[in-house]
Amino acid sequence: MTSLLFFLFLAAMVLVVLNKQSFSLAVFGVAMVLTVYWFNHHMTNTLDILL
Amino acid sequence: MSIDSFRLLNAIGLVLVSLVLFIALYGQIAGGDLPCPLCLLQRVAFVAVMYGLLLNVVQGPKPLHYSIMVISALLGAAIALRQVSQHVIPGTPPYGAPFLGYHYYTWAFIVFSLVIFGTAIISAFGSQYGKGIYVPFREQQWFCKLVIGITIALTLANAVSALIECGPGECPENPVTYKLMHQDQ
Repeated sequence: MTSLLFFLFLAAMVLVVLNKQSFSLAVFGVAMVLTVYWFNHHMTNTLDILL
Repeated sequence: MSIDSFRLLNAIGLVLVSLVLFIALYGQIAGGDLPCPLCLLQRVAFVAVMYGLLLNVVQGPKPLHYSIMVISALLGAAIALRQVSQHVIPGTPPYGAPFLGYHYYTWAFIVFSLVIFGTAIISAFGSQYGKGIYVPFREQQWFCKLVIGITIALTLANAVSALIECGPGECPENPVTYKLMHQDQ
């Protein structure tokens, strides 16, 4: 899953260089949403600092 | 300052963020410090910041591109802060070897904060905004060509590294081996 995130951002970067800006921004948006989703998935354990 | 000057400044920013990712990859390969899931997500956030910088270099500076950098850095800072919180209690073992006195996740939080601060400064210069001018790769200055190449290569290297370490699924919480290289074990 994490490698997918990197590959999505890579695709967005290549699309920028190829002047496909709208498509690139769409791919970037998808990648960011998935990144937030995966971050939320990994925030599962309770932090010791919680009182 | 001309628009090309700001493109160059953004290219220098790409170099600095690339350096962060390069140090992380070097520590992984030379030191055997495999990145944990949150470590990888911080690298993803750095790549997202680089995307915003790349947009400024290729398409010309725009407020949207600086917003992308800030949002990416905020996400990265949140991920880094989460990892700092996991290890901040005295006696809790840290993750990975320290670098110049701080662990990578602490450095990540510092760097993301600097990205937000720096973006706030540079985005205030209105003279850089105008009609967006796309500069094809072959017409870029040699320095920008080099930086664009390094950016894409580093992103690809991180993608391949994450794939070898974790496979297509979830990364282990405390990785010690590369999953795709030890499938029979």
